[in-house]
Amino acid sequence: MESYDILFSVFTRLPLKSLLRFQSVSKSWNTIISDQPKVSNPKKLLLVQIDDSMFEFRDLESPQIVRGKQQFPLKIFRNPTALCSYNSLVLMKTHIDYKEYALWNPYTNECQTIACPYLNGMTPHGCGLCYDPSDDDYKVILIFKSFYAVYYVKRNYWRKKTISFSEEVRDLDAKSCECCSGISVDGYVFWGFNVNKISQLVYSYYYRIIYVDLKSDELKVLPQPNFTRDRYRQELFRLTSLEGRVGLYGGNNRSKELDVWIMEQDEWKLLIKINCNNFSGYYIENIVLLGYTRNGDILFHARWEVERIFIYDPKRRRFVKSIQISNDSKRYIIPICLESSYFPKSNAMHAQEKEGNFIKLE
Amino acid sequence: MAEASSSITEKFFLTLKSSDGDEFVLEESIAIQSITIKNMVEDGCSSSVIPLSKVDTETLIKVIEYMKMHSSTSSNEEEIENFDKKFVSNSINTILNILEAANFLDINNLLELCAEAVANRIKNKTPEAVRKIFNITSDFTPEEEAEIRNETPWAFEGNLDHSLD
Repeated sequence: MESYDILFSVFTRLPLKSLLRFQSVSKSWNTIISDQPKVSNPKKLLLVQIDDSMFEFRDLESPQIVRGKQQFPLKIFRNPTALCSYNSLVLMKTHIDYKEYALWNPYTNECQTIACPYLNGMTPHGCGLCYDPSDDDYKVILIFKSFYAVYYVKRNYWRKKTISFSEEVRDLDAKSCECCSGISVDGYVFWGFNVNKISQLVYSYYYRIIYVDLKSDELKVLPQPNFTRDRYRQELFRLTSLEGRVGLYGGNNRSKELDVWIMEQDEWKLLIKINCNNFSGYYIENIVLLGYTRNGDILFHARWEVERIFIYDPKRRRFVKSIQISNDSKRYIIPICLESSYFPKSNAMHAQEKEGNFIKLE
Repeated sequence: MAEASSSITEKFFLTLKSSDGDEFVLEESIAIQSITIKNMVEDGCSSSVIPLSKVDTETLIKVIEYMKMHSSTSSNEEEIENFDKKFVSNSINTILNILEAANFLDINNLLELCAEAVANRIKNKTPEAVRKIFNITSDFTPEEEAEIRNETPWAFEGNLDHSLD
Protein backbone atom coordinates (compact mmCIF):
# COMPACT_ATOMS: atom_id res chain seq x y z
CA MET A 1 0.00 0.00 0.00
CA GLU A 2 1.13 3.54 -0.72
CA SER A 3 2.90 5.14 2.19
CA TYR A 4 1.79 8.23 4.03
CA ASP A 5 4.48 10.32 2.31
CA ILE A 6 3.18 9.44 -1.12
CA LEU A 7 -0.46 10.08 -0.32
CA PHE A 8 0.53 13.32 1.33
CA SER A 9 2.45 14.48 -1.75
CA VAL A 10 -0.66 13.84 -3.86
CA PHE A 11 -3.14 15.34 -1.39
CA THR A 12 -1.29 18.65 -1.17
CA ARG A 13 -1.87 19.02 -4.92
CA LEU A 14 -5.58 18.32 -4.92
CA PRO A 15 -8.27 20.97 -4.91
CA LEU A 16 -10.50 21.30 -1.88
CA LYS A 17 -13.50 19.73 -3.56
CA SER A 18 -11.61 16.52 -4.40
CA LEU A 19 -10.16 16.24 -0.91
CA LEU A 20 -13.56 16.56 0.69
CA ARG A 21 -14.90 13.87 -1.62
CA PHE A 22 -11.95 11.56 -0.93
CA GLN A 23 -12.52 11.69 2.80
CA SER A 24 -15.09 9.00 2.11
CA VAL A 25 -12.53 6.65 0.48
CA SER A 26 -11.40 5.02 3.72
CA LYS A 27 -10.75 5.74 7.38
CA SER A 28 -7.03 6.25 6.87
CA TRP A 29 -7.60 8.68 3.97
CA ASN A 30 -10.17 10.50 6.08
CA THR A 31 -7.65 10.85 8.91
CA ILE A 32 -4.83 12.10 6.67
CA ILE A 33 -7.08 14.61 4.93
CA SER A 34 -8.67 15.85 8.16
CA ASP A 35 -5.23 16.29 9.71
CA GLN A 36 -3.97 18.46 6.92
CA PRO A 37 -4.16 21.88 8.62
CA LYS A 38 -0.62 21.02 9.69
CA VAL A 39 0.53 21.57 6.12
CA SER A 40 2.85 24.52 6.40
CA ASN A 41 2.75 25.59 2.79
CA PRO A 42 -0.80 25.57 1.49
CA LYS A 43 -1.42 25.89 -2.17
CA LYS A 44 -1.80 29.40 -3.43
CA LEU A 45 -4.36 30.22 -6.03
CA LEU A 46 -5.24 33.27 -8.00
CA LEU A 47 -8.79 34.45 -8.34
CA VAL A 48 -9.24 36.30 -11.59
CA GLN A 49 -12.35 38.25 -12.40
CA ILE A 50 -13.16 37.62 -16.04
CA ASP A 51 -16.65 38.97 -16.33
CA ASP A 52 -19.17 40.96 -14.30
CA SER A 53 -19.64 38.18 -11.81
CA MET A 54 -17.57 35.33 -13.27
CA PHE A 55 -14.29 34.37 -11.66
CA GLU A 56 -11.70 31.79 -12.59
CA PHE A 57 -9.11 30.00 -10.50
CA ARG A 58 -5.53 29.76 -11.54
CA ASP A 59 -2.75 27.96 -9.79
CA LEU A 60 0.36 29.85 -8.74
CA GLU A 61 2.44 26.87 -9.91
CA SER A 62 1.08 26.93 -13.47
CA PRO A 63 -0.87 30.16 -13.98
CA GLN A 64 -1.41 29.51 -17.69
CA ILE A 65 -4.00 26.85 -16.84
CA VAL A 66 -7.51 27.77 -15.75
CA ARG A 67 -8.35 25.41 -12.90
CA GLY A 68 -12.02 26.16 -12.65
CA LYS A 69 -14.65 28.82 -12.78
CA GLN A 70 -17.13 30.14 -10.30
CA GLN A 71 -19.99 32.56 -10.60
CA PHE A 72 -20.38 34.96 -7.72
CA PRO A 73 -23.82 33.97 -6.45
CA LEU A 74 -25.35 37.26 -5.30
CA LYS A 75 -27.25 38.75 -8.21
CA ILE A 76 -27.86 42.03 -6.35
CA PHE A 77 -24.08 42.64 -6.26
CA ARG A 78 -23.77 44.03 -9.72
CA ASN A 79 -20.19 44.16 -11.01
CA PRO A 80 -18.68 43.08 -7.70
CA THR A 81 -15.08 43.77 -6.73
CA ALA A 82 -12.91 41.49 -4.64
CA LEU A 83 -11.35 43.73 -1.98
CA CYS A 84 -9.15 41.33 -0.07
CA SER A 85 -8.92 37.70 0.92
CA TYR A 86 -7.78 35.46 3.71
CA ASN A 87 -7.56 31.69 3.58
CA SER A 88 -10.45 30.73 1.37
CA LEU A 89 -12.63 33.74 2.18
CA VAL A 90 -12.94 36.80 -0.03
CA LEU A 91 -14.42 40.14 0.94
CA MET A 92 -16.60 41.44 -1.87
CA LYS A 93 -18.05 44.85 -2.53
CA THR A 94 -20.51 46.21 -5.04
CA HIS A 95 -20.15 49.61 -6.63
CA ILE A 96 -23.83 50.39 -6.40
CA ASP A 97 -24.20 50.14 -2.65
CA TYR A 98 -21.91 51.65 -0.03
CA LYS A 99 -23.25 49.67 2.87
CA GLU A 100 -23.27 46.11 1.63
CA TYR A 101 -20.28 43.81 1.72
CA ALA A 102 -20.20 40.08 1.22
CA LEU A 103 -17.98 37.31 2.53
CA TRP A 104 -17.57 34.66 -0.10
CA ASN A 105 -15.89 31.30 -0.27
CA PRO A 106 -15.33 30.76 -4.01
CA TYR A 107 -14.74 27.01 -3.59
CA THR A 108 -17.96 26.20 -1.82
CA ASN A 109 -19.79 29.22 -3.25
CA GLU A 110 -21.15 29.95 0.20
CA CYS A 111 -21.86 33.58 0.76
CA GLN A 112 -22.96 35.90 3.52
CA THR A 113 -23.76 39.58 3.23
CA ILE A 114 -22.78 42.05 5.91
CA ALA A 115 -23.89 45.64 6.13
CA CYS A 116 -21.59 48.22 7.64
CA PRO A 117 -23.75 50.43 9.87
CA TYR A 118 -21.38 53.41 10.02
CA LEU A 119 -21.26 55.22 6.79
CA ASN A 120 -22.35 58.11 4.80
CA GLY A 121 -21.46 57.27 1.27
CA MET A 122 -17.79 56.65 1.87
CA THR A 123 -15.51 54.09 0.33
CA PRO A 124 -13.03 52.82 2.91
CA HIS A 125 -9.36 53.72 2.41
CA GLY A 126 -8.36 50.31 3.56
CA CYS A 127 -9.94 46.98 4.24
CA GLY A 128 -8.73 43.76 5.75
CA LEU A 129 -9.88 40.24 6.36
CA CYS A 130 -8.19 38.10 8.96
CA TYR A 131 -8.52 35.20 11.34
CA ASP A 132 -7.93 35.62 15.04
CA PRO A 133 -7.02 32.21 16.51
CA SER A 134 -7.37 33.38 20.12
CA ASP A 135 -10.97 34.23 19.39
CA ASP A 136 -11.51 31.52 16.77
CA ASP A 137 -13.21 34.12 14.65
CA TYR A 138 -12.78 35.94 11.37
CA LYS A 139 -12.66 39.73 11.44
CA VAL A 140 -13.38 42.29 8.76
CA ILE A 141 -11.62 45.64 9.20
CA LEU A 142 -12.64 48.78 7.31
CA ILE A 143 -10.57 51.97 7.65
CA PHE A 144 -12.26 55.30 7.01
CA LYS A 145 -11.01 58.86 7.38
CA SER A 146 -11.43 59.40 11.09
CA PHE A 147 -12.45 56.00 12.35
CA TYR A 148 -12.20 52.34 11.58
CA ALA A 149 -14.66 49.52 12.05
CA VAL A 150 -14.11 45.91 13.05
CA TYR A 151 -16.70 43.28 12.25
CA TYR A 152 -16.59 40.02 14.21
CA VAL A 153 -17.97 37.46 11.80
CA LYS A 154 -19.01 34.72 14.19
CA ARG A 155 -20.57 37.08 16.68
CA ASN A 156 -22.14 39.16 13.90
CA TYR A 157 -21.09 42.31 15.72
CA TRP A 158 -19.62 45.65 14.63
CA ARG A 159 -17.32 47.85 16.64
CA LYS A 160 -16.40 51.41 15.74
CA LYS A 161 -13.07 52.80 16.89
CA THR A 162 -11.57 56.24 16.48
CA ILE A 163 -8.20 56.68 14.84
CA SER A 164 -5.67 58.32 17.12
CA PHE A 165 -3.48 59.57 14.28
CA SER A 166 -6.13 61.19 12.13
CA GLU A 167 -3.62 63.48 10.48
CA GLU A 168 -2.02 60.52 8.73
CA VAL A 169 -5.25 59.16 7.39
CA ARG A 170 -6.18 62.53 5.98
CA ASP A 171 -2.92 62.35 4.07
CA LEU A 172 -3.77 58.94 2.76
CA ASP A 173 -7.02 60.35 1.52
CA ALA A 174 -5.22 62.70 -0.82
CA LYS A 175 -3.36 59.93 -2.52
CA SER A 176 -5.89 57.50 -3.82
CA CYS A 177 -9.54 56.73 -4.07
CA GLU A 178 -8.79 53.04 -4.30
CA CYS A 179 -9.33 50.80 -1.30
CA CYS A 180 -6.05 49.38 -0.01
CA SER A 181 -6.08 45.64 0.71
CA GLY A 182 -4.66 44.68 4.06
CA ILE A 183 -1.97 42.01 4.33
CA SER A 184 -2.86 39.53 7.09
CA VAL A 185 0.14 37.89 8.69
CA ASP A 186 0.41 36.10 11.98
CA GLY A 187 -2.04 38.08 14.11
CA TYR A 188 -1.53 41.42 12.39
CA VAL A 189 -3.03 43.18 9.38
CA PHE A 190 -0.85 45.69 7.54
CA TRP A 191 -1.66 48.44 5.07
CA GLY A 192 0.82 50.59 3.20
CA PHE A 193 0.30 53.93 1.50
CA ASN A 194 2.53 56.01 -0.72
CA VAL A 195 1.93 59.53 0.56
CA ASN A 196 2.68 62.52 -1.59
CA LYS A 197 1.67 65.87 -0.16
CA ILE A 198 2.47 69.54 -0.14
CA SER A 199 1.98 71.29 3.15
CA GLN A 200 3.08 74.90 3.81
CA LEU A 201 5.04 74.80 0.59
CA VAL A 202 7.03 71.81 1.79
CA TYR A 203 6.82 68.84 -0.44
CA SER A 204 6.91 65.50 1.32
CA TYR A 205 6.92 62.07 -0.02
CA TYR A 206 6.96 58.92 2.08
CA TYR A 207 5.63 55.45 2.63
CA ARG A 208 3.32 54.98 5.60
CA ILE A 209 2.55 51.56 7.03
CA ILE A 210 -0.27 51.16 9.52
CA TYR A 211 -1.36 47.95 11.20
CA VAL A 212 -3.94 46.39 13.46
CA ASP A 213 -2.84 44.07 16.24
CA LEU A 214 -5.61 41.49 16.45
CA LYS A 215 -5.10 41.00 20.18
CA SER A 216 -6.27 44.52 20.92
CA ASP A 217 -7.76 45.52 17.56
CA GLU A 218 -5.84 48.80 17.90
CA LEU A 219 -4.78 50.59 14.74
CA LYS A 220 -1.19 51.83 14.99
CA VAL A 221 1.54 53.34 12.84
CA LEU A 222 4.55 51.17 12.07
CA PRO A 223 7.92 52.96 12.35
CA GLN A 224 8.91 54.01 8.87
CA PRO A 225 11.44 51.65 7.30
CA ASN A 226 14.80 53.42 6.82
CA PHE A 227 15.02 52.63 3.17
CA THR A 228 11.76 54.42 2.43
CA ARG A 229 12.95 57.70 3.93
CA ASP A 230 14.81 59.18 0.99
CA ARG A 231 12.30 61.66 -0.34
CA TYR A 232 14.45 62.68 -3.30
CA ARG A 233 14.53 59.24 -4.78
CA GLN A 234 10.77 59.23 -5.26
CA GLU A 235 10.42 55.55 -4.72
CA LEU A 236 7.11 53.77 -4.61
CA PHE A 237 6.44 50.80 -2.38
CA ARG A 238 3.89 48.09 -1.94
CA LEU A 239 3.20 45.49 0.74
CA THR A 240 2.73 41.82 0.09
CA SER A 241 2.63 38.56 1.95
CA LEU A 242 5.67 36.34 1.39
CA GLU A 243 6.16 32.89 2.86
CA GLY A 244 3.81 33.69 5.72
CA ARG A 245 5.53 36.99 6.53
CA VAL A 246 4.97 40.56 5.52
CA GLY A 247 7.02 41.68 2.55
CA LEU A 248 7.66 45.12 1.11
CA TYR A 249 8.89 45.86 -2.38
CA GLY A 250 9.59 48.95 -4.37
CA GLY A 251 12.00 51.15 -6.17
CA ASN A 252 11.83 54.08 -8.51
CA ASN A 253 10.94 53.89 -12.14
CA ARG A 254 14.38 54.83 -13.35
CA SER A 255 16.49 52.47 -11.29
CA LYS A 256 15.44 49.32 -13.22
CA GLU A 257 15.66 47.47 -10.01
CA LEU A 258 12.97 46.28 -7.67
CA ASP A 259 14.04 45.65 -4.10
CA VAL A 260 12.12 43.15 -1.98
CA TRP A 261 12.33 43.22 1.81
CA ILE A 262 10.84 40.85 4.31
CA MET A 263 10.08 41.45 7.97
CA GLU A 264 12.01 39.24 10.33
CA GLN A 265 11.82 39.77 14.08
CA ASP A 266 10.49 43.31 13.66
CA GLU A 267 13.26 44.25 11.25
CA TRP A 268 13.22 44.65 7.50
CA LYS A 269 15.74 42.49 5.71
CA LEU A 270 16.59 42.90 2.05
CA LEU A 271 15.55 39.62 0.46
CA ILE A 272 16.38 40.10 -3.19
CA LYS A 273 17.11 42.71 -5.83
CA ILE A 274 15.14 42.05 -8.96
CA ASN A 275 16.53 43.08 -12.30
CA CYS A 276 13.66 44.85 -14.06
CA ASN A 277 15.28 45.65 -17.38
CA ASN A 278 12.64 43.90 -19.41
CA PHE A 279 9.99 45.42 -17.22
CA SER A 280 10.67 48.90 -18.51
CA GLY A 281 7.57 50.93 -19.14
CA TYR A 282 5.98 49.64 -15.97
CA TYR A 283 5.30 51.63 -12.91
CA ILE A 284 5.75 50.02 -9.56
CA GLU A 285 2.14 50.65 -8.64
CA ASN A 286 1.07 48.46 -11.54
CA ILE A 287 3.18 45.52 -10.47
CA VAL A 288 1.84 43.13 -7.87
CA LEU A 289 4.13 40.58 -6.30
CA LEU A 290 2.02 37.45 -5.96
CA GLY A 291 4.47 35.16 -4.22
CA TYR A 292 6.88 32.28 -4.60
CA THR A 293 6.25 29.08 -6.48
CA ARG A 294 7.47 25.76 -5.08
CA ASN A 295 10.66 25.83 -7.12
CA GLY A 296 11.57 29.32 -5.93
CA ASP A 297 10.42 31.43 -8.87
CA ILE A 298 8.69 34.72 -8.09
CA LEU A 299 5.39 35.59 -9.72
CA PHE A 300 4.27 39.11 -10.59
CA HIS A 301 1.04 40.37 -11.95
CA ALA A 302 1.26 43.41 -14.18
CA ARG A 303 -1.01 45.45 -16.38
CA TRP A 304 0.48 46.50 -19.64
CA GLU A 305 -2.04 46.79 -22.45
CA VAL A 306 -3.24 43.37 -21.35
CA GLU A 307 -3.22 41.55 -18.03
CA ARG A 308 -0.13 39.42 -17.63
CA ILE A 309 1.65 37.27 -15.13
CA PHE A 310 5.44 37.38 -15.16
CA ILE A 311 7.67 34.69 -13.74
CA TYR A 312 11.09 35.70 -12.38
CA ASP A 313 13.82 33.15 -11.86
CA PRO A 314 16.12 34.41 -9.05
CA LYS A 315 18.85 31.92 -9.95
CA ARG A 316 19.15 33.22 -13.49
CA ARG A 317 18.33 36.75 -12.38
CA ARG A 318 15.81 37.35 -15.12
CA PHE A 319 12.18 37.10 -16.09
CA VAL A 320 11.70 33.76 -17.77
CA LYS A 321 8.06 33.71 -18.78
CA SER A 322 5.17 36.01 -19.49
CA ILE A 323 1.63 34.68 -19.44
CA GLN A 324 -1.28 36.62 -20.81
CA ILE A 325 -4.36 36.20 -18.66
CA SER A 326 -6.73 38.50 -20.46
CA ASN A 327 -6.60 40.30 -23.79
CA ASP A 328 -9.13 42.85 -22.68
CA SER A 329 -7.30 45.85 -21.31
CA LYS A 330 -10.48 47.62 -20.32
CA ARG A 331 -11.74 44.96 -18.00
CA TYR A 332 -10.05 45.29 -14.67
CA ILE A 333 -8.89 41.96 -13.41
CA ILE A 334 -8.19 41.51 -9.74
CA PRO A 335 -5.68 38.88 -8.81
CA ILE A 336 -5.98 37.72 -5.27
CA CYS A 337 -3.87 35.10 -3.60
CA LEU A 338 -6.06 32.56 -1.96
CA GLU A 339 -4.70 29.88 0.24
CA SER A 340 -6.93 27.00 -0.50
CA SER A 341 -8.54 25.83 2.67
CA TYR A 342 -8.31 22.07 2.44
CA PHE A 343 -9.94 21.64 5.79
CA PRO A 344 -13.24 23.33 6.05
CA LYS A 345 -14.04 21.57 9.31
CA SER A 346 -11.36 23.54 11.07
CA ASN A 347 -12.22 26.88 9.60
CA ALA A 348 -14.89 29.26 10.66
CA MET A 349 -16.88 28.85 7.48
CA HIS A 350 -18.28 25.61 8.75
CA ALA A 351 -18.72 26.72 12.29
CA GLN A 352 -20.83 29.43 10.74
CA GLU A 353 -22.80 27.01 8.72
CA LYS A 354 -23.84 25.10 11.82
CA GLU A 355 -25.07 28.26 13.44
CA GLY A 356 -27.11 28.93 10.37
CA ASN A 357 -25.62 32.32 9.56
CA PHE A 358 -24.35 31.33 6.16
CA ILE A 359 -26.73 30.98 3.35
CA LYS A 360 -25.85 28.28 0.90
CA LEU A 361 -26.75 29.30 -2.58
CA GLU A 362 -27.23 27.05 -5.57
CA MET B 1 46.62 19.04 -11.43
CA ALA B 2 46.77 15.88 -13.55
CA GLU B 3 44.63 14.12 -11.00
CA ALA B 4 41.97 16.84 -11.05
CA SER B 5 41.66 16.82 -14.83
CA SER B 6 41.44 13.05 -15.01
CA SER B 7 38.59 13.00 -12.48
CA ILE B 8 36.64 15.40 -14.68
CA THR B 9 36.99 13.34 -17.85
CA GLU B 10 36.82 9.86 -16.35
CA LYS B 11 33.31 8.41 -16.13
CA PHE B 12 32.27 6.26 -13.22
CA PHE B 13 29.58 3.66 -13.62
CA LEU B 14 27.19 2.11 -11.13
CA THR B 15 25.16 -1.05 -11.38
CA LEU B 16 21.57 -0.93 -10.15
CA LYS B 17 19.70 -4.16 -9.52
CA SER B 18 15.90 -4.28 -9.62
CA SER B 19 13.71 -6.41 -7.35
CA ASP B 20 13.29 -8.82 -10.30
CA GLY B 21 17.05 -9.34 -10.39
CA ASP B 22 17.78 -7.39 -13.58
CA GLU B 23 20.95 -5.28 -13.57
CA PHE B 24 21.35 -1.86 -15.18
CA VAL B 25 24.65 -0.04 -15.67
CA LEU B 26 24.41 3.71 -15.38
CA GLU B 27 26.82 6.64 -15.23
CA GLU B 28 27.33 7.73 -11.64
CA SER B 29 26.75 11.40 -12.53
CA ILE B 30 23.27 10.48 -13.76
CA ALA B 31 22.40 8.06 -10.96
CA ILE B 32 23.21 10.50 -8.16
CA GLN B 33 20.10 12.52 -9.00
CA SER B 34 18.75 9.99 -6.54
CA ILE B 35 19.75 11.24 -3.09
CA THR B 36 19.48 7.68 -1.78
CA ILE B 37 22.04 6.47 -4.33
CA LYS B 38 24.19 9.58 -3.82
CA ASN B 39 24.40 8.84 -0.09
CA MET B 40 25.35 5.23 -0.80
CA VAL B 41 28.10 6.38 -3.17
CA GLU B 42 29.41 8.85 -0.58
CA ASP B 43 29.38 6.13 2.08
CA GLY B 44 31.46 3.95 -0.24
CA CYS B 45 28.80 1.25 -0.80
CA SER B 46 28.84 1.60 -4.57
CA SER B 47 31.80 -0.62 -5.48
CA SER B 48 29.51 -3.58 -6.00
CA VAL B 49 25.95 -3.80 -7.30
CA ILE B 50 23.35 -1.52 -5.66
CA PRO B 51 20.25 -3.60 -4.89
CA LEU B 52 16.94 -1.75 -5.16
CA SER B 53 14.64 -4.24 -3.49
CA LYS B 54 11.61 -1.98 -3.69
CA VAL B 55 11.78 -1.16 -7.41
CA ASP B 56 10.74 -3.67 -10.09
CA THR B 57 12.32 -3.82 -13.54
CA GLU B 58 9.52 -2.05 -15.41
CA THR B 59 9.57 0.85 -12.98
CA LEU B 60 13.37 1.05 -12.84
CA ILE B 61 13.56 1.32 -16.64
CA LYS B 62 11.22 4.33 -16.48
CA VAL B 63 13.16 5.94 -13.65
CA ILE B 64 16.45 5.53 -15.52
CA GLU B 65 14.86 6.99 -18.67
CA TYR B 66 13.81 9.99 -16.60
CA MET B 67 17.22 10.46 -14.95
CA LYS B 68 19.02 10.26 -18.32
CA MET B 69 16.76 12.92 -19.81
CA HIS B 70 17.14 15.18 -16.77
CA SER B 71 20.90 14.84 -16.35
CA SER B 72 22.34 18.30 -16.67
CA THR B 73 24.15 18.58 -20.01
CA SER B 74 22.48 16.37 -22.58
CA SER B 75 18.99 17.86 -22.91
CA ASN B 76 17.52 21.27 -23.53
CA GLU B 77 14.49 22.74 -21.75
CA GLU B 78 11.98 22.11 -24.49
CA GLU B 79 13.03 18.47 -24.86
CA ILE B 80 12.67 17.96 -21.13
CA GLU B 81 9.24 19.57 -21.10
CA ASN B 82 8.02 17.34 -23.93
CA PHE B 83 9.54 14.29 -22.30
CA ASP B 84 7.79 15.04 -19.00
CA LYS B 85 4.46 15.50 -20.76
CA LYS B 86 4.79 12.14 -22.45
CA PHE B 87 6.13 10.54 -19.29
CA VAL B 88 3.01 11.32 -17.25
CA SER B 89 0.74 9.90 -19.95
CA ASN B 90 1.66 6.40 -18.72
CA SER B 91 -1.11 4.46 -16.99
CA ILE B 92 -1.99 5.68 -13.53
CA ASN B 93 -0.76 2.46 -11.96
CA THR B 94 2.62 2.85 -13.65
CA ILE B 95 2.83 6.44 -12.38
CA LEU B 96 1.94 5.32 -8.86
CA ASN B 97 4.77 2.75 -9.02
CA ILE B 98 7.19 5.41 -10.25
CA LEU B 99 5.98 7.78 -7.53
CA GLU B 100 6.73 5.15 -4.92
CA ALA B 101 10.17 4.52 -6.44
CA ALA B 102 10.87 8.28 -6.59
CA ASN B 103 9.99 8.51 -2.90
CA PHE B 104 12.28 5.58 -2.02
CA LEU B 105 15.13 6.80 -4.26
CA ASP B 106 14.59 10.40 -3.13
CA ILE B 107 14.42 12.02 -6.57
CA ASN B 108 12.54 15.18 -5.76
CA ASN B 109 11.75 16.39 -9.31
CA LEU B 110 10.37 13.02 -10.29
CA LEU B 111 8.31 12.81 -7.11
CA GLU B 112 6.78 16.22 -7.80
CA LEU B 113 6.08 15.38 -11.42
CA CYS B 114 4.32 12.11 -10.54
CA ALA B 115 2.42 13.53 -7.55
CA GLU B 116 1.10 16.34 -9.75
CA ALA B 117 0.16 13.81 -12.45
CA VAL B 118 -1.66 11.54 -10.00
CA ALA B 119 -3.50 14.53 -8.49
CA ASN B 120 -4.57 15.67 -11.97
CA ARG B 121 -5.74 12.22 -12.92
CA ILE B 122 -7.80 11.53 -9.79
CA LYS B 123 -9.15 14.98 -8.90
CA ASN B 124 -12.47 14.52 -10.70
CA LYS B 125 -12.91 10.85 -9.85
CA THR B 126 -15.53 9.28 -7.64
CA PRO B 127 -14.42 7.78 -4.32
CA GLU B 128 -15.33 4.34 -5.75
CA ALA B 129 -12.96 4.77 -8.72
CA VAL B 130 -10.20 6.02 -6.40
CA ARG B 131 -10.61 2.94 -4.19
CA LYS B 132 -10.16 0.64 -7.18
CA ILE B 133 -7.08 2.53 -8.43
CA PHE B 134 -5.42 2.51 -5.01
CA ASN B 135 -6.67 -1.00 -4.28
CA ILE B 136 -8.49 0.07 -1.12
CA THR B 137 -11.48 -1.64 0.47
CA SER B 138 -13.69 0.83 2.31
CA ASP B 139 -13.66 0.30 6.06
CA PHE B 140 -16.60 2.63 6.67
CA THR B 141 -20.04 1.39 7.59
CA PRO B 142 -22.69 2.66 5.14
CA GLU B 143 -23.91 5.04 7.87
CA GLU B 144 -20.45 6.48 8.46
CA GLU B 145 -19.91 7.00 4.75
CA ALA B 146 -23.31 8.67 4.35
CA GLU B 147 -22.47 11.00 7.22
CA ILE B 148 -19.22 12.14 5.57
CA ARG B 149 -21.03 12.66 2.26
CA ASN B 150 -23.74 14.71 3.92
CA GLU B 151 -21.22 17.08 5.48
CA THR B 152 -20.27 18.45 2.06
CA PRO B 153 -22.79 17.27 -0.52
CA TRP B 154 -21.53 19.85 -3.04
CA ALA B 155 -18.20 17.99 -3.21
CA PHE B 156 -20.05 15.06 -4.80
CA GLU B 157 -21.91 17.14 -7.37
CA GLY B 158 -20.96 17.84 -10.97
CA ASN B 159 -19.52 15.64 -13.70
CA LEU B 160 -17.52 13.05 -11.82
CA ASP B 161 -15.19 10.64 -13.55
CA HIS B 162 -15.85 6.91 -13.02
CA SER B 163 -12.98 5.62 -15.17
CA LEU B 164 -10.07 3.72 -13.67
CA ASP B 165 -7.24 5.44 -15.53
